Parts: sequence; C-alpha cells; structure tokens
Amino acid sequence: MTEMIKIESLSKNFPGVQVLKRVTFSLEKGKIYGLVGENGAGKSTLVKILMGIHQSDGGEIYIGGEKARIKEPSQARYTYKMDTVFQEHALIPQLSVAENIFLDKLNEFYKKGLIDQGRLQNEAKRALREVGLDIDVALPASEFSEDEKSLIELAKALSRRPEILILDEMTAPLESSVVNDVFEVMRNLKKKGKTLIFISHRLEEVFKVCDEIIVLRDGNLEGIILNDSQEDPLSIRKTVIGMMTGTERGLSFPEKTGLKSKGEVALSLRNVRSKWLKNVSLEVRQGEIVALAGLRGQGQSRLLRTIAGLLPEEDGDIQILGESPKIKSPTDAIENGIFYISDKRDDEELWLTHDVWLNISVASITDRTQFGFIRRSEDKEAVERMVSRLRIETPSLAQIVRNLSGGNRQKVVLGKYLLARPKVLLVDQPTMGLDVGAKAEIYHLLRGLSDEGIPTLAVLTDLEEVVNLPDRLLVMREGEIVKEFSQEVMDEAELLDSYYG
Amino acid sequence: MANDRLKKIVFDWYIYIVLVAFWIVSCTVSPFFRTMSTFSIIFVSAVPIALVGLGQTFVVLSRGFDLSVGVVASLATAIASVTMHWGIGPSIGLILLVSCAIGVINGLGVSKLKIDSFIMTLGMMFFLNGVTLLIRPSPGGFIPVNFKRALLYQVGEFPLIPVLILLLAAIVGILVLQKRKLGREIYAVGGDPESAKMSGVDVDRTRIKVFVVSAVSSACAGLFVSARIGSGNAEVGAPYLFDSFTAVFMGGTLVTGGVGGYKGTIASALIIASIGHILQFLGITIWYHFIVKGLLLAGVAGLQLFFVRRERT
Repeated sequence: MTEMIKIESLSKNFPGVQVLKRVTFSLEKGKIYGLVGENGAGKSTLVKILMGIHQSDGGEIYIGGEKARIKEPSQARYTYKMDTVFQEHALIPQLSVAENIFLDKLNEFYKKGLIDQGRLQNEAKRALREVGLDIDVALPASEFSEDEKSLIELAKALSRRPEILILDEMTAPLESSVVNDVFEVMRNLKKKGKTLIFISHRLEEVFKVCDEIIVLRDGNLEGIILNDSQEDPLSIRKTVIGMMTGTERGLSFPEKTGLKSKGEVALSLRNVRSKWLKNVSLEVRQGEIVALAGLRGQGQSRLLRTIAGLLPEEDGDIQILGESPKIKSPTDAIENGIFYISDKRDDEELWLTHDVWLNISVASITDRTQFGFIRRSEDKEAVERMVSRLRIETPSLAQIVRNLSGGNRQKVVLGKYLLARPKVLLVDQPTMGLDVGAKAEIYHLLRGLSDEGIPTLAVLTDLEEVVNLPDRLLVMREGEIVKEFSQEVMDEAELLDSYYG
Repeated sequence: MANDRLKKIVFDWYIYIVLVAFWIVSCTVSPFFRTMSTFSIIFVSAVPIALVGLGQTFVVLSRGFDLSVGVVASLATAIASVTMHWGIGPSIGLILLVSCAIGVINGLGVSKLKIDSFIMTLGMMFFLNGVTLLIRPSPGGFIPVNFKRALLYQVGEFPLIPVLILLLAAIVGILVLQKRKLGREIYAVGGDPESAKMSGVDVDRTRIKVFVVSAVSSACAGLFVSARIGSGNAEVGAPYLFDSFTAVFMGGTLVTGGVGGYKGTIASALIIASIGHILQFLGITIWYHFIVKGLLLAGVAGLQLFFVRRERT
C-alpha cells in the first residue's frame, strides 16, 4: 500500500465563493477512486488544481511523497506523470487524429527537420490499440463520433504513460458498450499499479468500477466510502447520495398521472418523413409526458428539431390542438406554441453573460411592449413571477446567468418559454449534466406543467429517467418509432431489447 | 467514388483552377496577354503580395489579424533608402531586426496583454506610419543598383529571381505549416485555443511567433518593393494590407482560424497581380482596381463558402 497522492487542507476561493474548504485525503497506488458530488461541490476545481490549470489558495499536494507545486498542465503531465481526460474534448477538429495525440511533442517526430507522418501515424495507431480503437489516424478529428473522440482522448492521455489518470465526466456522452471498454482499460491500469480518479454523474458507473468513493459537498470532504462488494449495494448507494445531497433522499420521481387524465391531443404527427425520419406518427395529449428513447443518434433529437422547424420536413402532417399550421422555421413553430429546448443549454438557450431578467424575458418580450417600448414594470413583474414559480435560486434578477448552477440555468430556460405560453414543450435531454437534486426538481416542474395542460415530448437517454419519468415511451431506431410502452408495463430487459431490435 | 475524388480535387485546387482559367481566357481574348513580358510583370508584382500574404496566412490561421503588414513593408523601404549606403548587408540586417522587434511587440500585446489582434496591430499601424514618415517624409533616398539588379534578375525575359522568391515562399510557407511543429500548433491555436492549451501547446509563444513571421515576411516584401521602385516611400506599402487579406481569404483560409493554408494564398496573389496588370494594361484608372478587387474577394470567397456549406449539410 503505497501512497501516491496526498492532499492536505487544500483550499480555493473564487470571487464570492469558497469552492474548496481545507480538503484532506490521500490516494494509494493501484486503486480506482470515484470522486462524486453535486454540481458546484468542487470536483472540477480539485481536478483543475491537480492539473495546474488553477492554483490553490492554501494547502499542499504531495505526489509520490514529494511536495508538488503544479503551475501548468505540462508540468502536471511530465514532471508528476498525471493526466486528465475531460468531458469537453480537447481535440483540435482540423488536425489529424495522429497529430492530436502527439500535439505537444510533434518535434520528436522530425526527420530531416520535417514531421515524419509515417512514424507519427504508426505510433498513433499503437496508442489507439490500447483503447481498442482501429481507425484511420490520418483523418481529421472532426470526422469521428463523440464515442470515438472520447477514446482518442483516452489514448492520448495513455500515450504519455501517466502514473495518475483522472477521468473527468469522460463517460457522460458515451454509449454503454463504450463505457464498458473504458472500464476495461481502467481495470488494466489498476492492475499495473496506476492510480485512477473517476468522476461521473452516473452513480451506477461509479459503483461498478471504483474501489473507494470520495464524496465532496459544498467544497468539503464529506467522507470516503469503501465500495465493498460484500455490502449491500443499495445501502452504499443510499449512503453516498445522502452524503452528496446532505439529506437521505435518492432520486425521486413524480407520480405518473398522465394516462389517467386523458386530455385533448396537443401534438399529433402523421407519417412525418425527412432525410432522417421514416413515417413517424405519434400523439401527445395534454397532461402527458411522452419520452423518445433508444440508442443515441437514432433520430430522437432530429425528430424534435423537425417538429420545431429547425430541420426540414419532407412529407407528413403535424397538428397542434387539431390545427395544421405550416411550420417552415423556428419562428413559425414558436408562433404556434411549439417550443424546443435544446440539450446544448449553454450554447443554444442562454445568453450566459447576461442577467436572469433578460434571459427569461427575451422570448416573449413583445407581449409586454407598448408602441415598441418595453413596459419595464410589467416585464419585471412577469420575470419575477417566473423566478418564484420555478423557485430559481438567484440573489436578484440582475445576476449573470453564468454564475448560476446548472439546475437553475435550466429553470431559467423553462421560465423563458413558459412566459411565452407554450402549447407543447419539446425537450432534449432536460437533465443533462445536472446533479441529483436539480434533476428531481426538473422532473417535478415538467410534471407540474403537464398537469396544467402543457405536455412534454422529451428525448431521454438515462435509463432511470426513461423508466420512471414519462407516462408513455416511444423507442426509436434508425429514424423510426419501433415500439411503444405505457406506464406500469415497463420491463427493463424488454425495453433494452427494443433498443437493439 | 470517382465522382467524390474529383469533387475533392476540385475543392482542394479550386483557386488554381480559377487562376489557370483566368489566364487561358485572357490569353485567348487578348494577343497582348500572350507574351512573356506580361507574365514577367505578373510574377514580379505577385512577389510582394505573396510575401505579405505569407505572414498574414500564419496570423489568420492562428485566429488573428495583422493590420501592420503594409506599413511594415513601407518602413522597410524607408529604412533601406536611408541605410543602404552603409552597405546592403548591414541594411538588410537592420531591417530584419527591426521587423522582428515589431513582431515580438505585436505578439506580446496580443498574447500577454490579451489585446485583440485587430486593435493591437491597428495601433501598431498608426505608430509605424508616423515613424516611417519621420524617416522618409517624401519618396526618395538611395537604393544601390546591384541590389535592384540582383532581386529583379532576369534570364532573357524570364524573371528568374522573383520566380525563385515565389517558389521559396511557397516551399517555406507550405512546409512550415504542414510539416513543422510550429505549423501544426498554429492550426491548433486557431482551431480551438482552449483545447490547444489543454493539450500542452504554448499558445502565447505560438501567437508571438506568428506575428514575428508576419512582420519579417512583410519586411521582405518591403525590401523587394524598394528594389522595384528604386527608392523609399512611406506610402508604398499601404495597398499591400488589402492585398494580403484578399489573398488569404480568396485562397480559402477562413477568418475564424484553423482552416486553410498558404497554397491558396500564393495562387490568389498571382490572380490579384494578373488582374492588376490587365486593368493597368487596359488603361483603366486605379480606382476601378479597388472596385474589381472588392467584387472579386466577395465573389470568390462567397462561392467557396457556398461549396463548403453544401459539403457540410
């Protein structure tokens, strides 16, 4: 049992917040550690300090028994043999895969002063073999899928032979089969005596692969739990979630009330076809939450985007409350009460550098104008109403949205569209990247809205959500709806079967 | 499959196809165009455009702008015209040193002080314009005949040295960008500066190097111009600023950085020089040159973006 990393009363302040409060723990060689906590608990900050991207305000880091002063990523990588695979890809889209893998040491491949592409590509192939990927390394990184990019990232980190490897939400965008490949790689590294830190929002993954689980909450170390296979997994899970949230609650879902209510048909699709969709027909009734499920990229998001006028529809009929409006653009969709909420929340839904007021008010601002001027007090009142109705935690309407947590950001997005009085919400992965507490709040909000007559058609990927949130479930495969499930009859095995066909 | 390959070839060599088509049409239409002396003039006038374009390509690829390329060329002619009487070597040495310093200052401002490159080089442009006018308030000065003869050396009507300079610029530009660490890092920085940093690229140092390349290649353009006009002139470099951007963007390098290369820039430099020559030959006043260049830039770049967009959807 040799100690690899020791962290001693590490602290970090950002303007107005202390994100790490005297955190102390030590990690041994040949073990996989899970690092969990809700958003804002300090996980990412801790990783960034270890990688030399941020500097700590107090405390010490010891690596291999020696005091480490890590000022920049290259130092973390080459002096302390520590590497991180981040969720946001650090691949340069225009450069080839091989160049990406060895980007910071291309000069080691010089032959007569020029980069020897042959050798570079051979080395890159060898590096990719370690993660079980066989691709054309001369192609630019942009040509590859998210799954492949993640594995390329992993290969890039492994090629530097790290003693300590941190996986920061790396598995978040991955298919479960690829996640298993990643676990295989992790277990192999563990056997070779490396230290691994695994960060994931999907707790099942953490329980599956980690030896010990470090729990952070509000910048404090809450504890380190031994993930002993002898123990009851449910009780470990409960303990960890309890420590993460500070309460004993797990993920709670609202009651499925949709099928009982039998409301009017809010959205109906008849044989909708496009480049990516084959004869899609479906109905969403008021009071319902309907989910589109399936493997990633089977046309779920594209279906939502087509209904919302963001992608062209070739044929078929879309009805809103019995009428068939012409929807050729997002503007048409919005005028007809169809609102699409993108899964790329920060890029496509929010003005991150502007305040809560503007972000909520913007979509429906023309409702509160007179002679082209905004009626300020009415606008403010409307926004305040949304903030309190959705319980958005913000010190004031003037708070910059960037400073809000993920859950509150998503509520701001919902608030923006609710003010515009939607007839149906199309939501793409509404809880992506949110912590347990925020997820539950979003579920209850969506359920509350559907009870009030604003139904939701949502793309869901997380199995727990797929099973527990919607009243009805439509499984898509290759642009087609292949199976429907309605509430209680759900059998997880049958569901997964339908994914693969 | 064959169709796809053809499409790719057309896409990759698009600007060369435009260049050759342009030459063929001009040669067919006008007997005067079909002469060696025409091509000689085109190659000679393309040299400074290709040189300022070289630096500008590096800067734009790294997601920046360099508005000081024209004035650096002017400054080089001014310094040459007052120092060449010491000897050609020391004068060239001084000019390269000064341009290096300018590049480093631009680069430091952009990387360390985080001043937007547009603003930083705009400031540099005004500053150097003043300095150049102080050195050379009116055109004139001394440029040795040897220097002029050497840079413009012709074999018969074939402009040997100017063509060699073009080839050298092409080889250096393409090899450095495609086959050297610096080049690949420039694409990385331009493609995604955050990712480049995470991957261990020294983004600041890359930015500084890019501006040094730009200033030095602009100074070389200035040296060539001083040989051509046989004097120093504080205003002579100004049009090369527009030409550098026209060559870079017409050549397919994207304003957003990370995409493109010098291959397109140098062909565009030849197109710009050819058009300039034709218009001059037809006796059309200089003002129309700007109008034609403006239309050309928008037209060619627009057409190319149209193709790119079609490729992507």
